[in-house]
Amino acid sequence: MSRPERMQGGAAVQSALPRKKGFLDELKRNKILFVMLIPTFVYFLLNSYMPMVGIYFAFTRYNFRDGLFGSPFVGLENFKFLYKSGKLFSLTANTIGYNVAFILIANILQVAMAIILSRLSSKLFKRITQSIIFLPYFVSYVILNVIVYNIFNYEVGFLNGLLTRFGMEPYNAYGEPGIWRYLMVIFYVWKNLGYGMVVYLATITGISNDLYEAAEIDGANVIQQIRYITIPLLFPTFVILLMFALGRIMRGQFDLFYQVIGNNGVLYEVTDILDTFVFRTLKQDFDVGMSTSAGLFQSIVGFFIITTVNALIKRKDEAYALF
Amino acid sequence: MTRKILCALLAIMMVLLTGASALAADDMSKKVDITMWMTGSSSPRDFDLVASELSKKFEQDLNCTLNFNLFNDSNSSQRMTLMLSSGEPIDLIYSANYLGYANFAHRGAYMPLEDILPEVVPDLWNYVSEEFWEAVKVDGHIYMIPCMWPEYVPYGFLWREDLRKQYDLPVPVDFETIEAYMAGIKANCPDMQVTGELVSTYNPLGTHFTTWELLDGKYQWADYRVPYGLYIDYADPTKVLNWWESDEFREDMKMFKRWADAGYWSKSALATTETKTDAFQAGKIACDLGYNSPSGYANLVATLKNSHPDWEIGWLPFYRMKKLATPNDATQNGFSIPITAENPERALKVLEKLILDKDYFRLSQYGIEGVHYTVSEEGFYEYVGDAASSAFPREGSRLWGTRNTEFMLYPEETGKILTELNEEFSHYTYPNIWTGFDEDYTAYQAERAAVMNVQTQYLPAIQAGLVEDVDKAIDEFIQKMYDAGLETVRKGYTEQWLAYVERKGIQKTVIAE
Repeated sequence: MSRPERMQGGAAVQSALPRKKGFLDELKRNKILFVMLIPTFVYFLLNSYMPMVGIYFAFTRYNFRDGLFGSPFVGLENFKFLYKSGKLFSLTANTIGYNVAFILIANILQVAMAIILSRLSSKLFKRITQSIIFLPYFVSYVILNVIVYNIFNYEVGFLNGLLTRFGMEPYNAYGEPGIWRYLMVIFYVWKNLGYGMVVYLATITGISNDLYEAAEIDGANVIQQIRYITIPLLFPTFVILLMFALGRIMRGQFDLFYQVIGNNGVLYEVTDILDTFVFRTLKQDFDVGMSTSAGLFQSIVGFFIITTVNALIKRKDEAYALF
Repeated sequence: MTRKILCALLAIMMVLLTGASALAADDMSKKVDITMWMTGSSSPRDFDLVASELSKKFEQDLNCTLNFNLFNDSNSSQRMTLMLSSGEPIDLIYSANYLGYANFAHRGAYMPLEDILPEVVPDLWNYVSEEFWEAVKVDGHIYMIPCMWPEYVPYGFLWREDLRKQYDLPVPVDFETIEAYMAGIKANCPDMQVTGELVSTYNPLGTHFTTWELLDGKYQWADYRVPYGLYIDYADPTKVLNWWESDEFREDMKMFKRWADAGYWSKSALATTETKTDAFQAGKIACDLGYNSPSGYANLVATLKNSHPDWEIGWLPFYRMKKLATPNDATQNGFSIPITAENPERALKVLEKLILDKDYFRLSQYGIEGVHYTVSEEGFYEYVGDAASSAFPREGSRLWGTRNTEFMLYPEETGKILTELNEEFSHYTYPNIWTGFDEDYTAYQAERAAVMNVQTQYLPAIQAGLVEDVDKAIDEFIQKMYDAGLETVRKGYTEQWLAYVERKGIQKTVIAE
C-alpha cells in the first residue's frame, strides 16, 4: 500500500519544480555540482570502463608479439578449461555458498556485537572489548595460515598436543575435508567481526537518544527497544553492506582460501572457489586469454546475482535498492 | 626551381635515412639505462652497493647505467609471468627451462636474437657453442643466451651422516638402505621429523609431492620432468610408455604409503610450506629425499661448516644409483631479452661484459674484492669475515645465467666436492637427449590446463601416501585425468617428442650396467 503512495509523492515533487528540458539545461543549472562530479567520473572511466576493452582477451589466443588486437581470435575456446575439468558447477556453488555464509553469519554477529557493546555502560570495558575484537582485522591471511598450521599440525600442533595430553587420539585435521567448511567460516568471522561491528556501532551511535527515552517512558524494556528501535534503524545500513558484499560474491575471499588451504589438494573438494581454481591453474603458465575468460565468467555471474538481488529488494522497498 | 625541389627532397631523404640507421644500429653516444632482472628470493645486504659499482663501470665502458634487480619473490615463475605480461620495459631477464622458457618463447615474449648476435656481440656469439645455440632454439629462433658452465643437476638423497654414525645405521646406497636409515632415525630421534617432503610445482612437470624426485634414482628415463605420466625410455627414446597406469607406478606409490604410515614425513605434509633446506639447516629433519645438484650440496657443506661445525652430511646423487648421468640442458640457465626491451643491443653488450670480462664477472658474482671476498694464493674463493653473515655471499646476485668456467672461483671444499663428483659422473655420462626439446601446447592448452589442475588436486596426496587405499586413489585420479582430456594432451606431447627424436636423429643407446 505504501509503495504507490510514495511514487505518487515523488511525481508530485517533480511536477512542482519548474520543468526543464534536456541535459544541457540541467548542466547549466547545476554547473558546480557537475564540476564536482568530474574526478569521480574520470576515476571510474580510467579504472573501470577503459579496462573493459581487455574483455576481448577472453576470445583470443594471446601472444606478446601481436598484443590485444593482433592475437588470433579463437571464439569460446578459452572457456573450455573451465568446464573441461567438470568442476565448474561445484566451484560456482562453493564460491556462492561460502560467501553467502560469510556475509550472513558475519553481518548477524556484527549487528549482535554492536548492539551488545552499545548497551554496555563501562566506557573502558567497551573500548578494550572493541579493540580486541577489531585487532584480528589487521592480521594478514599469511599470518593466519601460520597460526592455523601450528594449531592443526598432526605431529607438533597445539590441538593434538592437548588431545594426547588428555589421553585422546590425535586428530588429522588436514586429512578431513568436512570440517574445513566450518573452519573457513570461523576464520572469516574471527578476522572480520570487528570491522563490520564498528560500522554498525557508528550507526547505533547516530540513533537519537530521544527515541529510546520515549520508548522507556512508554514502558518498553531493553529487548523491546532493540527489537523496535535499533534493529529497524540498522536495517538500511545492513542492506547497503549486503549489496556491496554481494557485488563481490563471485570473487570473495581469495586470500583466505589461497593462504590457508594452499597446496593441500585433499581439501579442494570442499574449499576450492573459482578464484583459487583459476589462480592455481594459470600460475604454472600464465595465459592471458584463459585468465580473462575466467574473470569474465565471474563478472557475468556476479552481475546476474546483484541485479537479481537488487530487483528483489526494489520490489520490497524501493528506498533500499542500490540502483 | 626543379633543382630546389630536388635538393629539398634529397635533404628529406637524408634525414629519413639517418633516422632509420639510428634506429637499426645502437648509437653508443646515446646514454641509456639497462634494466636487468634475476630470480632470487631475497637480496643480500650489500646488493645495492654492488649494483651501483657495476653501474658506474658500465657508465664508463658502455655509456649506460645498469638497473640491476632481483625478483625478491620466492615464487619466481609467477613473478616472471607477471613481469613479462605487464609490458614494462625490461632489457634483460633471467630465463630457464624450469621457469617456462619455451612457453614464453612460443608466445612471443622474447626477442629473436640470431640476426643481431653475431654482429653486435661477436665474442659472445663465438663463446657459446654451436650445439647450445642449436639447443636453445624455439620455432627456429634463438631467444636465450645460454650459460656455458658445464654442470650436472641431478637430485640426490641428502642425510645427516653424524646421526647415521651415532646410531650405527647403514650407509644409504639404494632404496632399501634409504628406508633403513629413515627407520633408524624414526626409532632413535623421537623429536625429529625424519624428512620434510612437501608439495612443489615446476615446469613442465606440474604440481607434485617431492617424493617424485626420489624415483629418478630408479628409472632410466630420458628425463624425470616428462609430464602427463608418460615414461620415455633413455635407451630407446622412440618408446613413450604410460607410466601412471603401469604396475611399477602402483608399487612405487605403495612404497611411499608405507613410508608415510611409518611417519617419515608429517601427516600434515600437504599443508607444509617450510622448505626442506630451511628445515634441514634448522636441524628439524634428518634427511631429504630429493636434494638438488652437486653445487647445491657443495655449498651446503660450506654453509653447515660455519653454522653447525659438529654436523656431517652425506649425499647420494641419483645418477650414481642408476649409473646414468646426463649433462645439464642448454636451457638450464640463461638470459633472454623481452620484446619490451628498449635497448636490446646495448643489453647484449652488457651481458657480454658480465660473462666474458673477468672484472665484471667477479664483481657481479662475488662482490667487491677485499670487501666481500679474497682470492687465496692457491686460487680459492675466501670470504672476508664470517661466511654466514656475509653482506654479499658468493653468487649473491643469483647470476646463474652468466657463470663462466674461466673466471669462476670456489671455496676450497666446494671445489673439491665438485671436482670429485664431476669426475665420478664422467664415467657414466651419456648425451642429454632431452635438451632442445620443447613442448608447444598452444594447440591443446585448455585440456592441458584442466589436466594439470586435476593433477594438482589428486596426485600429491597419492605420492605422499596420504590416501587410505592407494589402488582406489590411483583409479580415481586416472579417471579424472581422462575426463579432463589426458588423451589429447598425451597425444600432442608424444607426437612432438617423436618428431623431435627423428629430426635430431637420436639413436638407441646401450647403457652399461
